[in-house]
Amino acid sequence: MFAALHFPDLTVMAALRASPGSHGQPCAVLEADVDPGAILEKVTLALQAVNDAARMTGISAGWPLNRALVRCPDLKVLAPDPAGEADLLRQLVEAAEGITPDIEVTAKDTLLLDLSRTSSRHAARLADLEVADAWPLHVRAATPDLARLAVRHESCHGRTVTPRKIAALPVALLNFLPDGAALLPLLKDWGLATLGDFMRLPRQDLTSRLGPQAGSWHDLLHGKTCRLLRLHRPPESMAQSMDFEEPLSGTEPLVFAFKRLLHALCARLAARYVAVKALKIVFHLERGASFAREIRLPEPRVEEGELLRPIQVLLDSLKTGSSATGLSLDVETTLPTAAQRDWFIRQLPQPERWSDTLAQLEALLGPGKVGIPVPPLSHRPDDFKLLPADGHSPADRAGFFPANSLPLRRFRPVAPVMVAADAHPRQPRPLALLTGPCRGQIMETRGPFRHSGHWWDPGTAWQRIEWDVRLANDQLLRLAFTPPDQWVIDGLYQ
Amino acid sequence: MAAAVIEQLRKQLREKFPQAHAASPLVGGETASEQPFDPAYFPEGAISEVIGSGLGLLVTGLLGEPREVSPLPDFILVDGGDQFDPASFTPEACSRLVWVRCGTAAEMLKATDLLVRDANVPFILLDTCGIARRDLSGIPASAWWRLKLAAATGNCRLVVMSPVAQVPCAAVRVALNARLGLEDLELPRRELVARLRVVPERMKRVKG
Repeated sequence: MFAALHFPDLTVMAALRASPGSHGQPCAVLEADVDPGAILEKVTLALQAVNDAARMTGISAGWPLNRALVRCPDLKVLAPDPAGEADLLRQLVEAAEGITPDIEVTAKDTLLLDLSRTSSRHAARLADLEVADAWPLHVRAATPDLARLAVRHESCHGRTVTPRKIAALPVALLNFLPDGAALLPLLKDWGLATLGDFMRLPRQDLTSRLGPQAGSWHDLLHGKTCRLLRLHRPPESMAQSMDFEEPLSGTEPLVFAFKRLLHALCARLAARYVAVKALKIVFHLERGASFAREIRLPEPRVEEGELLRPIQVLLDSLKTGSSATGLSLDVETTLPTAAQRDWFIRQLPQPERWSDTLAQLEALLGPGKVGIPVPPLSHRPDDFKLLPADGHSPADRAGFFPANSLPLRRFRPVAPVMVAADAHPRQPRPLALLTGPCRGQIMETRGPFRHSGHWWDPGTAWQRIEWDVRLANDQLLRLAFTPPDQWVIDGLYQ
Repeated sequence: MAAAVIEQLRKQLREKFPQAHAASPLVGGETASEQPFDPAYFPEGAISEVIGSGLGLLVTGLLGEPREVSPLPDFILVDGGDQFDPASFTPEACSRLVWVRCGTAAEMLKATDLLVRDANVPFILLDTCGIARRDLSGIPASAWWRLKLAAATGNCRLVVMSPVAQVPCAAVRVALNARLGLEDLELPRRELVARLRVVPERMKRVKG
């Protein structure tokens, strides 16, 4: 199944973007770029396109300007905007890429889509495509050229056409086929009014009189030929960006914006048979500020929903402080088979779900709160690292052994206390804890253990003396003295 | 008679293959599932509760003393008061653990709920010892029941470590009794863990 997408007024739309003051008025674009002030000298030029308001007055594309001005004296004649047309076509292609990567740009306002690899759910999006606040017309057919012809006639819009249905359309539609304009006057002279009249002519006689081109048209209208599309090559870069007309602050509109970007992204991924390894997002904020986030996926993904889920989690946890005026999305790709499941390696049952959960935990607890702990190699207190818990290979830090057998329940931050100690200035010996969460006489001590580090750098040098102590109530704790006079409890042994 | 023959056979095998028939660390007829330091001790799809003193040794016993870094975590520690000390363990033992650092009781419960529902790592230790007693008693019973249902759905082992009993729907509740002194800091961990006394208070096994 194929589909044709068509923007009937793309030329006028592009021209109107250049002169927004003419919105709502009858407008037309001439075939050639002329100076609007010199219209009177160019009155015989034909109209290239008209908008709905002009069409309501009875004029249409192809009319000479002088005749159109007689019918509609208020007609605004706009200069063509080729750059704007190209931009609209690019947007149309981007929107269509969300449905299928197999696209042919047939004309500057018409696309052909191959729906053979597209699910019915995706194909249903044809009716909802929106480009520049307008909805392109679409038609489906068994062959691409049938769809291309039918989309030019309003009675077929939104439908699936067959050779039988197309027979009722006017023969003038052949004008949109290559070399159609040359034979059309002859066919009209023969008295043919509809495509059905043409289709009923014997093919062999038609070919012998008009040449092989007429025979191929005959086959085309009967749905006997189904050519391959001349596929539109998507841009090499996966990067996309979007500027918002109004700054967005809520999560929901941003999700919609990401959905739109992911439509095109997934089509590009499918066209190149690659998968996403990491999403790189840049939020452009008001006053020119911007910040970037990177989402690494546990396994390569290509599905739109699977890519959107981690983005939604990110957006839920996002606190930008100001509204977003635009966003950019780029991806790091890899082969889809790069991380397929291996029978002989232990893996998480649902790594994509694990990734979501980790992102939700980060949103709940903040960054740096979840991970696989790695003890320090130095003796600096509480100097640990957290490795990401999403399946990255853990660092091999073999060689570190804990100082003693009992695990410490560490206070964060450490609890400063007042300690009664003997008066030795360099190595005070604790006798009792006077304040803090654990108080009492110290019955037994183990130590002192002297630790220091970074002595070569006065800015970061540290030094402490530690004791393991037992209080009168049998609590075991680690006490530390930091010169010149600070005592802290590092934690309890349990 | 048959038992004597089997015993004789075992003896011969032990003599012939001494390494394969080395003495098991579990003695006295105990099976692995009777040790609280074996994950299988705690029932699947239920909440268990461990109370008393020596809770740090429970984590030590569960992590064990592996010789190699684990490629994937086996346990999740939801640390209610952010009191876990990585420096008390070897890197190989730490690699078996995902550490979730919470600051409040609400954060702790929400994080546990997310992880229990995720069920990618189906053994979760919930350490409530660092939470203030007032906050801990403010946790409604419905929160524990909710976690119990989530654990049952995800077939997850959820073990709550707390100073006093507080989980009304705990399928298994055991009390640890570790009389620790400063001299114990010098002992090997294996000895300390073996010395830990475990007193079952509630053993309601979940059929599964």
